[in-house]
Amino acid sequence: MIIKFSKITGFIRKEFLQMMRDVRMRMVLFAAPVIMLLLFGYAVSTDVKSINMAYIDEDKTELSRELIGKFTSSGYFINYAGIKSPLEAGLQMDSGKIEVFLHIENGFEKKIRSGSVASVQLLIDGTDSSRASVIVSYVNTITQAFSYNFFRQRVMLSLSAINSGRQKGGKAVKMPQDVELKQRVFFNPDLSSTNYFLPVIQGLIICLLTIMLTSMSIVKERETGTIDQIAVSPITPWELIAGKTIPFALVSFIDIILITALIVFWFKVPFKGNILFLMISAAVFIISTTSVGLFISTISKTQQQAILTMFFFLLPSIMFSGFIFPVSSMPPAAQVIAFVNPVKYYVDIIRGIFLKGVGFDVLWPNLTALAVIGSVLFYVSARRFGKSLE
Amino acid sequence: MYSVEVANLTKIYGKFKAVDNISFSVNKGEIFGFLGPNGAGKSTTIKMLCGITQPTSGSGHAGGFDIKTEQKMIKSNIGYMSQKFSLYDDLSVIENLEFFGNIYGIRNNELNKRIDAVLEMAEIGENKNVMVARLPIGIKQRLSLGGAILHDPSILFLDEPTSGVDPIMRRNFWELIYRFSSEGKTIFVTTHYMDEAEHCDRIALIISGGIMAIDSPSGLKNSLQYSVYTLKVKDFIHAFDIISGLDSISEASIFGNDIHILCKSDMKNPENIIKDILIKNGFSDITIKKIKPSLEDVFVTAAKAKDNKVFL
Repeated sequence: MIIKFSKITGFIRKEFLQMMRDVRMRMVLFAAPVIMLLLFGYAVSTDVKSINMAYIDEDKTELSRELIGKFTSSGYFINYAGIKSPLEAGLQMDSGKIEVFLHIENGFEKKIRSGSVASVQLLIDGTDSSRASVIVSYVNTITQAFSYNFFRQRVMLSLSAINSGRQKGGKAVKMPQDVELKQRVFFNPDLSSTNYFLPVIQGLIICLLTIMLTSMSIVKERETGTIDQIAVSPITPWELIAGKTIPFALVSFIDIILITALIVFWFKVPFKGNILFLMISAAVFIISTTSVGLFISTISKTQQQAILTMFFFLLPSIMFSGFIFPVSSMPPAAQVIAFVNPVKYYVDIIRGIFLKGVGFDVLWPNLTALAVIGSVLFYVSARRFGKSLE
Repeated sequence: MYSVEVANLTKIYGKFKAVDNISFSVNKGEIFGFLGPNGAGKSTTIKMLCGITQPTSGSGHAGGFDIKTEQKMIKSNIGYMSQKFSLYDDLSVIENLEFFGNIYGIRNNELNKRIDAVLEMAEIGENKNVMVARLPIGIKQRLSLGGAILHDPSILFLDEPTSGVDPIMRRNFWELIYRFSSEGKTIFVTTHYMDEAEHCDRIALIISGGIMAIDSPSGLKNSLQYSVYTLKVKDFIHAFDIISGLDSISEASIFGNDIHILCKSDMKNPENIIKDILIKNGFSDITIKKIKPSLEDVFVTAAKAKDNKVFL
């Protein structure tokens, strides 16, 4: 056992030397995570805000202005001025300059006060369906609140008229109370998409790094022929696998700590869970990713092939992980893919640790799934790798 | 006891027979050459001897260790130098040696001693911290050999060891090999270069997975059943066209300004026959001389006669 360990340390030393000397490698190790964090931290946001809205008020009454004011003062809609006709509005929506168009007809207030129904036309750009459905809900909330308040005022007025016309000693009619909905968002109160995306970035980065580093370093040795030199030595395939995977796992761990620190202290993403549990889960996850790297190295002859194959695996893994699109809203066939996708389980664990503050007690099924998938992947890849040395 | 011995060694990949029932024995300290075209089975045989690949059938031992069951012991006992030199370009000389020493289980003082010996043999001197990528090819070659003997193996496998190296470096390299041989190391060399094969004590001619002959270089040349003649004539290219079309000639090739002709040894009076044909075709000033066959002649006739199991 002592001999075995010292052989692996020689490997680890060599891999670190080679990693640190390669300029491109240094870029990937440190620049790539930072760029991804900046992108998702600042540039990408799925929060539905800054909605450009144009309106045409043909009524120009107190009530119509009040309705419009509810939109423009909500903080979500931005007034896009200068639209003179519905046709122009249509053109601006086509070119993406506005997303919402509000059209109030002449006679709006008159109709309402006289007891008829007044309609208001709202056009919404449905191209981005997720965004549009959120806009629809904003609009519904605002118009319903507006209607409700209006009716409430009318009822109060009517009631005071009834009460003041009452005989002395009679019962006063009370104003009916309503159901007040008190909303509280657990775990991510600001509904900030940054909090939703950034913790997962850490998982994606170690996934990318371990797969890429493991597969490329092995393929490079195959390209230069140095792997023949290793194959004829008394080193066992297990020692070789350990030597080729441990260095990159270590680097990934360092990256995890750095990125988590950045996310928590710079981007102010909450971290409510246990850091030790995060490390353990990361370690189990890395078993899966380094196995994939090993596997890729057995099917690639050149380093370019290795990178392309890696993306072939990586893209579906990310799509079917719940990173951007929730797994539960996917069709059953897609959910099957997610079921065997280690990234999915790690994403759930990360979000659980960062945002919900839960630990092993809740997340043990995820951790178990990771362990099982990791073991299978490792066994298959290690066998293939051993054969490839012959 | 032989240093290396194989009997009826066969390796089949799917439907393809890479190595077909070969047998040979090599003495301790012998320089043994594998000569043969690409795809002949040289690399596969070596892989089996190094304990990397399992034979399909047959048996053998290397350094006393069975090639089927004691592969790890074999690996600790053999050194291998590959054609590509197998050095890490992005590590220094000493980092390379430390790494290789490490995977052979040599540590600390012992490792330092051996590394110093290799550095001296390879004449690297002060360059031990230089990146391998910056070294000239002659030094890389010696360094690669040094890496192969770091753990003091009793058997060395050299795969095309001097490809791409100039004649002077090659000569220096072979001096090292002779030194190892006299120290009792058994050395296997695979090569395409005929002049390199001349350095070997014995050569095995391997073609299409089978051994055509095993003998010393002079033995192979002497037992060749062909005679070799050199022909000097003006307009030799035109003469070549005529001669290579003759049925009685086994092989003709252009050597510089001369033509080399191979004829079966039992052919009567080939010089006159050839001269007559050329004169009939209007050539003059013809000189034909019998010369000693070269290893290339041996190689070429063996490759052509691969359908016949015995050609010597």
